[in-house]
Amino acid sequence: MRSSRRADAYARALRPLLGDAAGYARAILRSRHGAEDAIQQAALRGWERFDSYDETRPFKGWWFAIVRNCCIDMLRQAGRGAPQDWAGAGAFDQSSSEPEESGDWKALDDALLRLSDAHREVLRLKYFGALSYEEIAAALHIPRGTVMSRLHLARKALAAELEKEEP
Amino acid sequence: MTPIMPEELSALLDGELSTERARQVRSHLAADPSLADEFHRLSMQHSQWQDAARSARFAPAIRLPEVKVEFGWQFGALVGVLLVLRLGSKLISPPGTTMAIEAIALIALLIVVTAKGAHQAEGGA
Repeated sequence: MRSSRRADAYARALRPLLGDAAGYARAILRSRHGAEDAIQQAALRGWERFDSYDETRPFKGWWFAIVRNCCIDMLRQAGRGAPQDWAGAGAFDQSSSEPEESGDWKALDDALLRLSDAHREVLRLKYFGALSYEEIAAALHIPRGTVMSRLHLARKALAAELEKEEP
Repeated sequence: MTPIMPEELSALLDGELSTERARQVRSHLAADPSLADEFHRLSMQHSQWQDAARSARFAPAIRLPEVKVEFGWQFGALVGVLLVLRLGSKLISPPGTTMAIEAIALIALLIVVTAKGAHQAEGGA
């Protein structure tokens, strides 16, 4: 990055997204520690590529695509193999000192693991990442209309899964 | 009125419909109790899932590379030209002109320092 002004612009754009990105990465990797690493990698990767960022596209969508790819890379490096493996495999390798993840979000994401990749992707970006339709479209490189219809069907699928769990 | 597409209920919930279309969908909901029930169910689920997902959030500490400011040869050349102008003005011009040239040189120097003439390179985190 050649300009300190551009560097400041990148840091300013990134700062408000970190909490959402951390939650999103944590849901994928099932590890707070792993999520922190992924976010750090994504921040640096975005820094390197910011000069090529198209300002007509939403920044959050652009950067979350990078976050997603960093999470995939980390899972592959941990030996999770192809995307269908990481999508359904469960926890990222956690260090022995890190407590097992738990909480409402984990119960939600456990249900997401039983959905198709396409449905899980949009729901994670919507709920964990808090992305708009336009941002999800940019992150997944799909049309906004597809996001709208896919998200609706994903919600119905998730509701059906959660209903199965009810006593 | 255009019939409602099922996904427009989700879009209404997410605030992703245009103002006019949202108004039309709400009119449909007001006129159709079963549709209103479906929307209510969707809203309840949405709130629960939103609250659950939010519990995953945390504030990660990240570091970005520092941007070091370096001055390249172009800056040095410009400083040299300005100094020559300054010296030359002292030798050949009346005092008033000299002061004017010095003022212009100083302003030009300040502009160069703060504008794109500076070369910047990345340093380590």
